[in-house]
Amino acid sequence: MTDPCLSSRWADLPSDLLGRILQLLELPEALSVASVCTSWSSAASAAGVPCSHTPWLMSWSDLRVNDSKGRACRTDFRSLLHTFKVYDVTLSRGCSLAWCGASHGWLVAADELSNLLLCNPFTFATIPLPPITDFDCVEAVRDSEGSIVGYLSGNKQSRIGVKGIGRWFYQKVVLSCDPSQNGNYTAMLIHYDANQVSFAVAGEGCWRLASTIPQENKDRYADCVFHRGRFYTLTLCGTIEMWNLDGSCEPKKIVFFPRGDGKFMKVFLRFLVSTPWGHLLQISFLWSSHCIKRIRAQIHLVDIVKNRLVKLRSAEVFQEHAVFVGQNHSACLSLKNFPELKPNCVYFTRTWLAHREIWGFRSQGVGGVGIYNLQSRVLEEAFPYYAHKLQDNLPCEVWVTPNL
Amino acid sequence: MEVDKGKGEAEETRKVAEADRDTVTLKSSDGKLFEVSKEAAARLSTVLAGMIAGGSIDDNGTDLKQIGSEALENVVDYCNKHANSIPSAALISSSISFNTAPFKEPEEWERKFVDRLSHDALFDLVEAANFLGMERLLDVTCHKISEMMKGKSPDQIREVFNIKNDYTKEELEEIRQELAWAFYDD
Repeated sequence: MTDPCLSSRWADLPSDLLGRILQLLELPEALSVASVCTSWSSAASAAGVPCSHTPWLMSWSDLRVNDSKGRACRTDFRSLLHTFKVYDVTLSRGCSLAWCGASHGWLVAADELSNLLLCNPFTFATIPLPPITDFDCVEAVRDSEGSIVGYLSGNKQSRIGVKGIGRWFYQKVVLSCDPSQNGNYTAMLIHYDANQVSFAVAGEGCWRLASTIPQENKDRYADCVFHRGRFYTLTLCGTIEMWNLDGSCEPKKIVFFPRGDGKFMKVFLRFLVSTPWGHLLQISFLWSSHCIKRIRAQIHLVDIVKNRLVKLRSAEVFQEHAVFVGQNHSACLSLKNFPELKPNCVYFTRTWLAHREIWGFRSQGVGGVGIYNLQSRVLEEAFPYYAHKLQDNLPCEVWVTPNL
Repeated sequence: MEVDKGKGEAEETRKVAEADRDTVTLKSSDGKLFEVSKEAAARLSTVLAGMIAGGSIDDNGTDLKQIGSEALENVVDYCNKHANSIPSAALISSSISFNTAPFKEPEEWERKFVDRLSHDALFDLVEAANFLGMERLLDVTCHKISEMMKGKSPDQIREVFNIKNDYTKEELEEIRQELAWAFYDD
Protein backbone atom coordinates (compact mmCIF):
# COMPACT_ATOMS: atom_id res chain seq x y z
CA MET A 1 0.00 0.00 0.00
CA THR A 2 1.27 3.43 -0.84
CA ASP A 3 0.52 6.23 1.53
CA PRO A 4 -1.04 9.12 -0.44
CA CYS A 5 0.54 11.59 1.99
CA LEU A 6 4.03 10.36 1.24
CA SER A 7 5.91 10.80 -1.98
CA SER A 8 6.91 7.68 -3.83
CA ARG A 9 10.58 6.86 -4.29
CA TRP A 10 10.54 8.83 -7.54
CA ALA A 11 11.02 12.03 -5.56
CA ASP A 12 14.41 10.65 -4.50
CA LEU A 13 15.50 9.68 -7.99
CA PRO A 14 19.28 10.32 -8.07
CA SER A 15 19.89 13.76 -9.51
CA ASP A 16 22.27 12.52 -12.21
CA LEU A 17 19.51 10.25 -13.49
CA LEU A 18 16.96 13.04 -13.44
CA GLY A 19 19.51 15.19 -15.27
CA ARG A 20 19.80 12.51 -17.91
CA ILE A 21 16.03 12.39 -18.31
CA LEU A 22 15.83 16.19 -18.55
CA GLN A 23 18.21 16.08 -21.51
CA LEU A 24 15.54 14.19 -23.41
CA LEU A 25 12.87 16.81 -22.78
CA GLU A 26 12.19 20.12 -24.43
CA LEU A 27 12.40 23.28 -22.40
CA PRO A 28 8.73 23.62 -21.34
CA GLU A 29 8.66 20.00 -20.21
CA ALA A 30 11.92 20.40 -18.32
CA LEU A 31 10.51 23.48 -16.57
CA SER A 32 7.43 21.48 -15.73
CA VAL A 33 9.52 18.68 -14.21
CA ALA A 34 11.59 21.22 -12.32
CA SER A 35 8.56 22.51 -10.45
CA VAL A 36 7.23 19.12 -9.36
CA CYS A 37 8.96 19.07 -5.96
CA THR A 38 11.95 20.60 -4.22
CA SER A 39 14.33 17.70 -4.82
CA TRP A 40 13.57 17.62 -8.54
CA SER A 41 13.91 21.37 -8.63
CA SER A 42 17.46 21.27 -7.29
CA ALA A 43 18.32 18.38 -9.60
CA ALA A 44 17.00 20.43 -12.54
CA SER A 45 19.04 23.47 -11.51
CA ALA A 46 22.12 21.28 -11.31
CA ALA A 47 21.34 19.91 -14.76
CA GLY A 48 21.26 23.45 -16.15
CA VAL A 49 17.52 23.85 -16.63
CA PRO A 50 16.99 27.61 -16.56
CA CYS A 51 14.28 27.75 -13.89
CA SER A 52 13.55 31.37 -14.55
CA HIS A 53 10.24 33.09 -14.77
CA THR A 54 11.62 36.11 -16.57
CA PRO A 55 9.96 36.49 -19.94
CA TRP A 56 11.23 34.24 -22.70
CA LEU A 57 11.46 35.39 -26.26
CA MET A 58 9.63 33.08 -28.60
CA SER A 59 10.27 33.18 -32.33
CA TRP A 60 9.96 31.00 -35.38
CA SER A 61 12.68 28.46 -35.84
CA ASP A 62 14.47 28.08 -39.13
CA LEU A 63 14.14 24.38 -38.65
CA ARG A 64 10.76 23.13 -39.71
CA VAL A 65 10.73 19.43 -39.35
CA ASN A 66 8.17 16.84 -40.21
CA ASP A 67 7.45 14.55 -37.37
CA SER A 68 6.01 11.10 -37.83
CA LYS A 69 2.46 12.35 -37.38
CA GLY A 70 2.68 15.19 -39.83
CA ARG A 71 3.87 18.72 -39.70
CA ALA A 72 5.30 20.00 -36.47
CA CYS A 73 6.29 23.60 -36.04
CA ARG A 74 9.47 24.37 -34.24
CA THR A 75 9.97 27.55 -32.33
CA ASP A 76 13.03 28.99 -30.66
CA PHE A 77 12.96 30.11 -27.04
CA ARG A 78 15.60 32.51 -25.78
CA SER A 79 16.21 33.58 -22.21
CA LEU A 80 17.45 37.00 -21.18
CA LEU A 81 19.70 35.22 -18.69
CA HIS A 82 21.69 33.35 -21.35
CA THR A 83 21.25 35.43 -24.45
CA PHE A 84 23.47 33.19 -26.55
CA LYS A 85 21.46 30.02 -25.91
CA VAL A 86 18.57 28.81 -28.04
CA TYR A 87 16.05 26.19 -26.93
CA ASP A 88 14.04 24.31 -29.54
CA VAL A 89 10.41 23.96 -28.64
CA THR A 90 7.89 22.05 -30.73
CA LEU A 91 4.47 23.62 -30.62
CA SER A 92 1.53 21.32 -30.29
CA ARG A 93 -0.02 20.65 -33.64
CA GLY A 94 -3.14 22.59 -32.83
CA CYS A 95 -1.38 25.93 -32.88
CA SER A 96 1.19 25.62 -35.57
CA LEU A 97 0.44 28.49 -37.87
CA ALA A 98 0.56 31.91 -36.32
CA TRP A 99 0.29 33.66 -33.02
CA CYS A 100 -0.97 37.08 -32.10
CA GLY A 101 -0.51 37.52 -28.39
CA ALA A 102 0.63 36.21 -25.04
CA SER A 103 -1.18 36.91 -21.77
CA HIS A 104 -0.53 35.35 -18.37
CA GLY A 105 1.73 32.74 -19.92
CA TRP A 106 -0.83 31.72 -22.54
CA LEU A 107 0.03 32.08 -26.16
CA VAL A 108 -2.79 33.10 -28.48
CA ALA A 109 -2.39 31.15 -31.70
CA ALA A 110 -4.34 30.32 -34.83
CA ASP A 111 -5.15 26.69 -35.51
CA GLU A 112 -5.41 24.76 -38.77
CA LEU A 113 -8.79 26.33 -39.56
CA SER A 114 -7.50 29.80 -38.63
CA ASN A 115 -9.59 29.81 -35.46
CA LEU A 116 -7.89 31.26 -32.40
CA LEU A 117 -6.99 29.19 -29.39
CA LEU A 118 -5.16 29.77 -26.15
CA CYS A 119 -2.20 27.50 -25.77
CA ASN A 120 0.07 27.25 -22.77
CA PRO A 121 3.46 26.27 -24.21
CA PHE A 122 4.65 25.23 -20.76
CA THR A 123 1.81 22.91 -19.79
CA PHE A 124 0.47 22.05 -23.27
CA ALA A 125 -3.06 22.95 -22.22
CA THR A 126 -5.26 24.54 -24.87
CA ILE A 127 -8.52 26.50 -24.68
CA PRO A 128 -10.41 27.27 -27.90
CA LEU A 129 -11.66 30.79 -28.62
CA PRO A 130 -14.75 31.39 -30.79
CA PRO A 131 -14.38 30.68 -34.54
CA ILE A 132 -13.35 33.08 -37.27
CA THR A 133 -16.73 32.66 -38.95
CA ASP A 134 -18.24 34.83 -36.17
CA PHE A 135 -16.89 37.86 -37.98
CA ASP A 136 -19.24 39.36 -40.54
CA CYS A 137 -16.37 40.06 -42.88
CA VAL A 138 -15.41 36.36 -43.07
CA GLU A 139 -17.46 33.75 -44.82
CA ALA A 140 -16.65 30.05 -44.85
CA VAL A 141 -16.50 28.14 -48.13
CA ARG A 142 -17.61 24.55 -47.60
CA ASP A 143 -17.36 21.42 -49.68
CA SER A 144 -20.29 19.11 -50.37
CA GLU A 145 -19.79 17.41 -47.01
CA GLY A 146 -19.88 20.66 -45.09
CA SER A 147 -16.17 20.83 -44.25
CA ILE A 148 -14.58 24.23 -44.45
CA VAL A 149 -12.20 24.41 -47.41
CA GLY A 150 -11.55 28.14 -47.54
CA TYR A 151 -12.80 31.58 -46.61
CA LEU A 152 -14.06 34.67 -48.37
CA SER A 153 -13.17 37.93 -46.70
CA GLY A 154 -14.32 41.51 -47.15
CA ASN A 155 -14.99 42.40 -50.74
CA LYS A 156 -12.29 40.08 -52.04
CA GLN A 157 -14.08 37.50 -54.08
CA SER A 158 -11.17 35.14 -54.38
CA ARG A 159 -10.98 32.29 -51.92
CA ILE A 160 -8.40 32.32 -49.14
CA GLY A 161 -6.94 29.06 -47.84
CA VAL A 162 -8.15 27.77 -44.47
CA LYS A 163 -4.74 28.28 -42.92
CA GLY A 164 -3.75 31.37 -44.88
CA ILE A 165 -6.26 33.78 -43.41
CA GLY A 166 -5.03 33.16 -39.85
CA ARG A 167 -1.64 34.57 -40.79
CA TRP A 168 -2.91 38.09 -41.44
CA PHE A 169 -6.39 38.42 -40.01
CA TYR A 170 -5.43 38.72 -36.33
CA GLN A 171 -3.15 41.43 -34.99
CA LYS A 172 -3.32 41.20 -31.22
CA VAL A 173 -5.23 39.49 -28.43
CA VAL A 174 -5.05 40.33 -24.72
CA LEU A 175 -6.86 38.57 -21.88
CA SER A 176 -8.45 40.10 -18.81
CA CYS A 177 -7.07 37.38 -16.50
CA ASP A 178 -5.38 34.02 -16.38
CA PRO A 179 -7.87 31.63 -18.03
CA SER A 180 -6.60 28.71 -15.95
CA GLN A 181 -7.49 30.46 -12.68
CA ASN A 182 -11.19 30.85 -13.37
CA GLY A 183 -13.43 30.68 -16.37
CA ASN A 184 -14.39 34.35 -16.35
CA TYR A 185 -11.83 35.73 -18.71
CA THR A 186 -12.53 38.07 -21.59
CA ALA A 187 -10.41 38.27 -24.72
CA MET A 188 -9.96 41.50 -26.65
CA LEU A 189 -8.90 41.25 -30.27
CA ILE A 190 -7.50 43.78 -32.74
CA HIS A 191 -8.08 42.36 -36.18
CA TYR A 192 -8.74 42.63 -39.91
CA ASP A 193 -6.64 45.57 -41.09
CA ALA A 194 -5.73 46.59 -37.53
CA ASN A 195 -8.91 48.64 -37.75
CA GLN A 196 -11.39 46.46 -35.87
CA VAL A 197 -11.82 45.55 -32.22
CA SER A 198 -13.85 42.57 -31.00
CA PHE A 199 -14.43 40.90 -27.67
CA ALA A 200 -15.14 37.34 -26.63
CA VAL A 201 -16.42 36.61 -23.13
CA ALA A 202 -15.69 33.09 -21.92
CA GLY A 203 -18.87 31.08 -21.86
CA GLU A 204 -20.63 33.23 -24.48
CA GLY A 205 -18.78 31.45 -27.24
CA CYS A 206 -18.82 34.23 -29.84
CA TRP A 207 -16.86 37.24 -31.00
CA ARG A 208 -18.66 40.57 -30.67
CA LEU A 209 -17.48 43.33 -32.98
CA ALA A 210 -17.14 46.53 -31.00
CA SER A 211 -15.48 49.07 -33.23
CA THR A 212 -14.33 49.67 -36.79
CA ILE A 213 -12.07 52.44 -38.00
CA PRO A 214 -13.18 53.19 -41.59
CA GLN A 215 -10.62 51.81 -44.01
CA GLU A 216 -10.15 55.18 -45.71
CA ASN A 217 -9.05 56.61 -42.36
CA LYS A 218 -5.26 56.47 -42.05
CA ASP A 219 -5.38 55.61 -38.35
CA ARG A 220 -5.06 52.04 -37.06
CA TYR A 221 -5.06 50.31 -33.68
CA ALA A 222 -1.58 50.05 -32.23
CA ASP A 223 -2.09 48.32 -28.89
CA CYS A 224 -4.59 47.17 -26.29
CA VAL A 225 -4.29 46.46 -22.58
CA PHE A 226 -6.32 45.36 -19.58
CA HIS A 227 -5.92 47.90 -16.77
CA ARG A 228 -7.76 48.06 -13.44
CA GLY A 229 -10.74 46.07 -14.62
CA ARG A 230 -11.13 47.72 -18.03
CA PHE A 231 -9.82 47.22 -21.53
CA TYR A 232 -8.14 50.13 -23.29
CA THR A 233 -7.09 50.55 -26.90
CA LEU A 234 -4.58 52.98 -28.38
CA THR A 235 -4.31 54.04 -32.01
CA LEU A 236 -1.27 55.14 -33.95
CA CYS A 237 -2.57 58.70 -33.93
CA GLY A 238 -2.73 58.59 -30.14
CA THR A 239 -6.45 58.21 -29.56
CA ILE A 240 -7.27 56.14 -26.48
CA GLU A 241 -10.54 54.28 -25.99
CA MET A 242 -11.78 52.88 -22.69
CA TRP A 243 -14.17 49.96 -23.04
CA ASN A 244 -17.21 49.20 -20.97
CA LEU A 245 -18.37 45.61 -21.31
CA ASP A 246 -21.43 45.43 -19.16
CA GLY A 247 -23.19 42.16 -19.59
CA SER A 248 -25.81 42.07 -22.27
CA CYS A 249 -25.26 45.57 -23.70
CA GLU A 250 -23.11 46.16 -26.72
CA PRO A 251 -19.56 47.13 -25.79
CA LYS A 252 -19.44 50.88 -25.18
CA LYS A 253 -16.39 53.06 -25.42
CA ILE A 254 -15.31 56.37 -24.00
CA VAL A 255 -12.90 58.13 -26.32
CA PHE A 256 -9.98 60.21 -25.08
CA PHE A 257 -7.86 62.46 -27.30
CA PRO A 258 -10.00 61.92 -30.43
CA ARG A 259 -7.63 64.03 -32.48
CA GLY A 260 -4.58 62.14 -31.29
CA ASP A 261 -1.34 63.81 -30.24
CA GLY A 262 -0.17 65.01 -33.64
CA LYS A 263 2.75 62.59 -33.83
CA PHE A 264 1.29 60.15 -36.31
CA MET A 265 3.95 60.82 -38.92
CA LYS A 266 6.77 60.20 -36.47
CA VAL A 267 5.43 57.21 -34.59
CA PHE A 268 7.08 53.88 -35.11
CA LEU A 269 5.45 51.84 -32.34
CA ARG A 270 3.01 52.67 -29.56
CA PHE A 271 2.14 50.72 -26.45
CA LEU A 272 -0.04 50.92 -23.36
CA VAL A 273 1.32 49.65 -20.04
CA SER A 274 -0.55 49.02 -16.80
CA THR A 275 1.75 49.51 -13.82
CA PRO A 276 1.57 47.76 -10.44
CA TRP A 277 1.06 51.14 -8.77
CA GLY A 278 -2.11 51.66 -10.78
CA HIS A 279 -0.99 54.00 -13.57
CA LEU A 280 -1.76 53.65 -17.23
CA LEU A 281 1.28 54.64 -19.29
CA GLN A 282 1.66 55.27 -22.97
CA ILE A 283 5.01 54.50 -24.57
CA SER A 284 5.66 55.96 -28.00
CA PHE A 285 8.69 55.08 -30.06
CA LEU A 286 9.34 57.98 -32.40
CA TRP A 287 11.72 58.49 -35.26
CA SER A 288 14.29 61.11 -34.54
CA SER A 289 17.10 62.35 -36.72
CA HIS A 290 18.99 63.49 -33.59
CA CYS A 291 19.50 60.08 -32.08
CA ILE A 292 22.15 57.60 -33.13
CA LYS A 293 19.73 54.77 -33.69
CA ARG A 294 17.18 57.27 -34.96
CA ILE A 295 14.64 56.20 -32.43
CA ARG A 296 13.60 57.65 -29.10
CA ALA A 297 10.94 56.79 -26.62
CA GLN A 298 8.45 59.07 -24.91
CA ILE A 299 6.45 58.08 -21.88
CA HIS A 300 3.17 59.67 -20.92
CA LEU A 301 0.95 59.07 -17.97
CA VAL A 302 -2.61 58.71 -19.20
CA ASP A 303 -4.74 60.67 -16.75
CA ILE A 304 -8.25 59.45 -17.50
CA VAL A 305 -9.91 61.52 -14.78
CA LYS A 306 -8.51 64.82 -15.99
CA ASN A 307 -8.53 63.73 -19.62
CA ARG A 308 -4.90 64.64 -20.22
CA LEU A 309 -1.49 63.18 -20.95
CA VAL A 310 1.35 63.98 -18.57
CA LYS A 311 4.83 63.65 -20.00
CA LEU A 312 7.08 61.77 -17.59
CA ARG A 313 10.77 62.38 -17.01
CA SER A 314 12.75 59.26 -17.71
CA ALA A 315 14.38 59.07 -14.26
CA GLU A 316 11.11 58.64 -12.44
CA VAL A 317 9.09 56.64 -14.87
CA PHE A 318 9.37 53.01 -13.89
CA GLN A 319 10.28 53.07 -10.19
CA GLU A 320 12.70 50.12 -10.28
CA HIS A 321 10.70 48.18 -12.80
CA ALA A 322 11.36 46.94 -16.32
CA VAL A 323 8.69 46.99 -18.98
CA PHE A 324 7.96 44.36 -21.64
CA VAL A 325 5.94 45.40 -24.66
CA GLY A 326 5.22 43.97 -28.07
CA GLN A 327 2.85 41.29 -29.22
CA ASN A 328 2.42 40.24 -25.58
CA HIS A 329 0.13 41.80 -23.01
CA SER A 330 2.47 44.51 -21.78
CA ALA A 331 4.08 43.88 -18.41
CA CYS A 332 5.78 45.97 -15.79
CA LEU A 333 8.02 43.70 -13.72
CA SER A 334 9.61 44.61 -10.40
CA LEU A 335 13.38 44.33 -10.19
CA LYS A 336 12.92 42.95 -6.70
CA ASN A 337 11.39 39.82 -8.20
CA PHE A 338 13.51 39.92 -11.34
CA PRO A 339 16.93 41.25 -10.32
CA GLU A 340 18.43 40.15 -13.62
CA LEU A 341 16.45 42.77 -15.55
CA LYS A 342 17.76 46.24 -16.22
CA PRO A 343 16.03 49.13 -14.48
CA ASN A 344 14.27 51.86 -16.43
CA CYS A 345 14.37 49.85 -19.60
CA VAL A 346 11.74 49.01 -22.16
CA TYR A 347 12.15 45.52 -23.60
CA PHE A 348 10.26 45.54 -26.86
CA THR A 349 9.50 43.47 -29.89
CA ARG A 350 8.07 44.81 -33.09
CA THR A 351 4.42 44.20 -33.71
CA TRP A 352 2.25 43.81 -36.77
CA LEU A 353 2.79 47.49 -37.43
CA ALA A 354 6.22 46.69 -38.75
CA HIS A 355 4.64 44.39 -41.31
CA ARG A 356 2.65 47.11 -42.95
CA GLU A 357 4.49 48.11 -46.05
CA ILE A 358 1.98 50.82 -46.84
CA TRP A 359 3.37 52.73 -43.89
CA GLY A 360 6.75 52.85 -45.51
CA PHE A 361 9.31 53.79 -42.95
CA ARG A 362 7.71 51.70 -40.25
CA SER A 363 8.69 48.53 -42.01
CA GLN A 364 12.37 49.38 -41.97
CA GLY A 365 15.04 50.23 -39.50
CA VAL A 366 15.01 49.00 -35.98
CA GLY A 367 15.85 45.36 -35.34
CA GLY A 368 13.39 42.88 -34.01
CA VAL A 369 14.06 42.77 -30.31
CA GLY A 370 15.47 45.75 -28.48
CA ILE A 371 16.14 47.12 -25.03
CA TYR A 372 15.67 50.85 -24.79
CA ASN A 373 17.21 52.53 -21.77
CA LEU A 374 15.12 55.54 -20.85
CA GLN A 375 17.85 57.23 -18.87
CA SER A 376 20.72 56.90 -21.30
CA ARG A 377 18.42 56.82 -24.36
CA VAL A 378 20.51 54.01 -25.69
CA LEU A 379 18.93 51.27 -27.75
CA GLU A 380 20.61 47.90 -27.75
CA GLU A 381 19.84 44.47 -29.13
CA ALA A 382 18.36 42.17 -26.50
CA PHE A 383 19.94 39.12 -28.14
CA PRO A 384 23.24 39.91 -29.82
CA TYR A 385 23.31 36.65 -31.75
CA TYR A 386 19.73 36.81 -32.89
CA ALA A 387 19.28 37.80 -36.48
CA HIS A 388 15.83 39.22 -36.88
CA LYS A 389 14.19 38.25 -40.12
CA LEU A 390 11.13 40.16 -41.11
CA GLN A 391 8.85 38.01 -43.19
CA ASP A 392 5.33 38.89 -44.06
CA ASN A 393 3.84 35.51 -43.50
CA LEU A 394 5.53 34.78 -40.18
CA PRO A 395 4.40 36.12 -36.82
CA CYS A 396 6.56 38.56 -34.89
CA GLU A 397 8.64 37.51 -31.92
CA VAL A 398 6.73 37.53 -28.66
CA TRP A 399 7.61 37.67 -24.94
CA VAL A 400 6.14 34.72 -23.03
CA THR A 401 6.36 34.04 -19.31
CA PRO A 402 6.02 30.52 -17.96
CA ASN A 403 2.71 29.93 -16.23
CA LEU A 404 2.90 26.47 -14.72
CA MET B 1 37.09 -26.62 -26.14
CA GLU B 2 40.18 -28.62 -25.43
CA VAL B 3 40.42 -29.82 -21.85
CA ASP B 4 43.48 -31.58 -20.58
CA LYS B 5 42.48 -34.31 -18.13
CA GLY B 6 45.96 -34.65 -16.64
CA LYS B 7 45.95 -35.12 -12.83
CA GLY B 8 48.45 -32.48 -11.85
CA GLU B 9 46.72 -29.93 -13.96
CA ALA B 10 43.23 -30.40 -12.49
CA GLU B 11 43.20 -27.09 -10.67
CA GLU B 12 44.53 -25.30 -13.73
CA THR B 13 41.89 -26.94 -15.84
CA ARG B 14 39.10 -25.85 -13.58
CA LYS B 15 40.27 -22.30 -13.85
CA VAL B 16 40.49 -22.48 -17.61
CA ALA B 17 37.04 -23.97 -17.79
CA GLU B 18 35.70 -21.18 -15.61
CA ALA B 19 37.37 -18.51 -17.68
CA ASP B 20 36.03 -20.14 -20.81
CA ARG B 21 32.47 -20.43 -19.62
CA ASP B 22 30.34 -18.15 -21.70
CA THR B 23 28.01 -17.14 -18.87
CA VAL B 24 28.50 -15.53 -15.49
CA THR B 25 26.35 -16.04 -12.42
CA LEU B 26 25.02 -13.00 -10.56
CA LYS B 27 23.47 -13.03 -7.10
CA SER B 28 20.79 -10.55 -6.07
CA SER B 29 20.53 -8.87 -2.67
CA ASP B 30 17.94 -11.47 -1.67
CA GLY B 31 20.18 -14.36 -2.68
CA LYS B 32 18.73 -15.44 -6.02
CA LEU B 33 21.09 -16.58 -8.78
CA PHE B 34 20.93 -15.50 -12.42
CA GLU B 35 22.98 -16.62 -15.41
CA VAL B 36 23.87 -14.05 -18.01
CA SER B 37 25.86 -14.14 -21.22
CA LYS B 38 29.38 -13.10 -20.37
CA GLU B 39 29.88 -11.38 -23.68
CA ALA B 40 26.70 -9.31 -23.32
CA ALA B 41 27.37 -8.49 -19.65
CA ALA B 42 30.87 -7.27 -20.45
CA ARG B 43 29.67 -5.28 -23.45
CA LEU B 44 26.65 -3.67 -21.78
CA SER B 45 27.89 -3.02 -18.24
CA THR B 46 31.12 -1.23 -17.46
CA VAL B 47 30.99 -2.51 -13.89
CA LEU B 48 30.56 -6.19 -14.89
CA ALA B 49 33.20 -5.78 -17.61
CA GLY B 50 35.61 -4.57 -14.93
CA MET B 51 34.77 -7.48 -12.65
CA ILE B 52 35.20 -10.03 -15.44
CA ALA B 53 38.50 -8.52 -16.54
CA GLY B 54 39.68 -8.27 -12.95
CA GLY B 55 38.76 -11.88 -12.18
CA SER B 56 36.42 -10.95 -9.35
CA ILE B 57 33.59 -13.01 -10.79
CA ASP B 58 32.49 -15.71 -8.38
CA ASP B 59 31.44 -18.97 -9.96
CA ASN B 60 28.93 -19.52 -7.18
CA GLY B 61 27.26 -16.21 -7.86
CA THR B 62 28.77 -12.74 -7.85
CA ASP B 63 27.16 -10.73 -5.07
CA LEU B 64 25.26 -7.64 -6.20
CA LYS B 65 23.98 -6.51 -2.83
CA GLN B 66 22.45 -3.28 -4.13
CA ILE B 67 20.13 -4.99 -6.60
CA GLY B 68 16.95 -6.87 -5.75
CA SER B 69 16.00 -10.09 -7.56
CA GLU B 70 13.24 -8.51 -9.65
CA ALA B 71 15.52 -5.78 -10.97
CA LEU B 72 18.39 -8.19 -11.51
CA GLU B 73 16.12 -10.52 -13.43
CA ASN B 74 15.23 -7.60 -15.71
CA VAL B 75 18.90 -6.68 -16.12
CA VAL B 76 19.80 -10.24 -17.04
CA ASP B 77 16.78 -10.52 -19.29
CA TYR B 78 17.80 -7.32 -21.03
CA CYS B 79 21.41 -8.50 -21.49
CA ASN B 80 20.31 -11.84 -22.94
CA LYS B 81 17.75 -10.23 -25.24
CA HIS B 82 20.37 -7.73 -26.33
CA ALA B 83 22.80 -10.54 -27.10
CA ASN B 84 20.16 -12.19 -29.29
CA SER B 85 18.98 -9.05 -31.01
CA ILE B 86 22.25 -7.93 -32.51
CA PRO B 87 22.09 -9.84 -35.81
CA SER B 88 18.54 -8.71 -36.54
CA ALA B 89 19.34 -5.12 -35.67
CA ALA B 90 22.28 -5.16 -38.04
CA LEU B 91 20.07 -6.64 -40.71
CA ILE B 92 17.47 -3.96 -40.33
CA SER B 93 19.87 -1.08 -40.43
CA SER B 94 21.67 -2.44 -43.49
CA SER B 95 18.44 -2.93 -45.37
CA ILE B 96 17.39 0.67 -44.78
CA SER B 97 20.94 1.70 -45.64
CA PHE B 98 20.53 5.35 -44.64
CA ASN B 99 18.16 7.50 -42.65
CA THR B 100 18.80 5.41 -39.57
CA ALA B 101 17.23 6.53 -36.32
CA PRO B 102 19.37 8.61 -33.94
CA PHE B 103 21.73 6.51 -31.89
CA LYS B 104 19.86 6.99 -28.65
CA GLU B 105 16.39 6.07 -29.85
CA PRO B 106 15.33 2.76 -28.30
CA GLU B 107 14.57 -0.06 -30.68
CA GLU B 108 11.17 -1.65 -30.87
CA TRP B 109 12.03 -4.59 -28.61
CA GLU B 110 13.66 -2.26 -26.08
CA ARG B 111 10.52 -0.16 -25.96
CA LYS B 112 8.41 -3.25 -25.38
CA PHE B 113 10.86 -4.41 -22.76
CA VAL B 114 10.41 -1.29 -20.61
CA ASP B 115 6.74 -0.73 -21.49
CA ARG B 116 5.66 -3.89 -19.67
CA LEU B 117 7.31 -2.80 -16.39
CA SER B 118 5.40 -1.42 -13.43
CA HIS B 119 6.50 1.99 -12.13
CA ASP B 120 8.26 0.32 -9.22
CA ALA B 121 10.06 -2.14 -11.47
CA LEU B 122 11.11 0.68 -13.79
CA PHE B 123 12.50 2.64 -10.85
CA ASP B 124 14.47 -0.40 -9.64
CA LEU B 125 15.74 -1.09 -13.13
CA VAL B 126 17.00 2.43 -13.76
CA GLU B 127 18.80 2.37 -10.42
CA ALA B 128 20.30 -1.03 -11.20
CA ALA B 129 21.41 0.15 -14.64
CA ASN B 130 22.98 3.17 -13.00
CA PHE B 131 24.80 1.04 -10.44
CA LEU B 132 26.09 -1.40 -13.06
CA GLY B 133 27.13 1.37 -15.46
CA MET B 134 24.85 0.16 -18.24
CA GLU B 135 24.76 3.14 -20.59
CA ARG B 136 22.43 1.65 -23.15
CA LEU B 137 19.93 0.41 -20.57
CA LEU B 138 20.08 3.84 -18.93
CA ASP B 139 19.26 5.42 -22.27
CA VAL B 140 16.32 3.11 -22.74
CA THR B 141 14.90 3.47 -19.21
CA CYS B 142 15.45 7.25 -19.06
CA HIS B 143 13.79 7.55 -22.46
CA LYS B 144 10.80 5.67 -21.11
CA ILE B 145 10.62 7.93 -18.04
CA SER B 146 10.89 11.04 -20.21
CA GLU B 147 8.00 9.73 -22.32
CA MET B 148 5.94 9.49 -19.15
CA MET B 149 6.62 13.19 -18.47
CA LYS B 150 6.05 14.59 -21.95
CA GLY B 151 3.15 16.93 -22.51
CA LYS B 152 2.22 17.01 -18.84
CA SER B 153 1.76 19.81 -16.34
CA PRO B 154 3.56 19.62 -12.98
CA ASP B 155 0.33 18.42 -11.37
CA GLN B 156 -0.06 15.65 -13.90
CA ILE B 157 3.56 14.59 -13.45
CA ARG B 158 3.07 14.48 -9.66
CA GLU B 159 0.09 12.23 -10.22
CA VAL B 160 1.92 9.86 -12.56
CA PHE B 161 4.90 9.43 -10.23
CA ASN B 162 2.93 9.79 -6.99
CA ILE B 163 5.03 12.70 -5.76
CA LYS B 164 3.81 15.08 -3.10
CA ASN B 165 4.12 18.77 -3.77
CA ASP B 166 6.50 19.63 -0.95
CA TYR B 167 6.78 23.34 -1.57
CA THR B 168 5.72 25.37 1.44
CA LYS B 169 2.81 27.79 1.17
CA GLU B 170 5.30 30.66 1.21
CA GLU B 171 7.34 29.16 -1.60
CA LEU B 172 4.24 28.55 -3.66
CA GLU B 173 3.12 32.12 -3.09
CA GLU B 174 6.56 33.31 -4.16
CA ILE B 175 6.36 31.27 -7.35
CA ARG B 176 2.85 32.49 -7.99
CA GLN B 177 3.92 36.10 -7.59
CA GLU B 178 6.85 35.66 -9.90
CA LEU B 179 4.53 34.17 -12.44
CA ALA B 180 1.95 36.92 -12.16
CA TRP B 181 2.28 38.36 -15.59
CA ALA B 182 1.24 41.96 -15.74
CA PHE B 183 -1.81 41.15 -13.75
CA TYR B 184 -2.56 43.74 -11.18
CA ASP B 185 -6.17 43.74 -10.16
CA ASP B 186 -7.17 45.94 -7.34
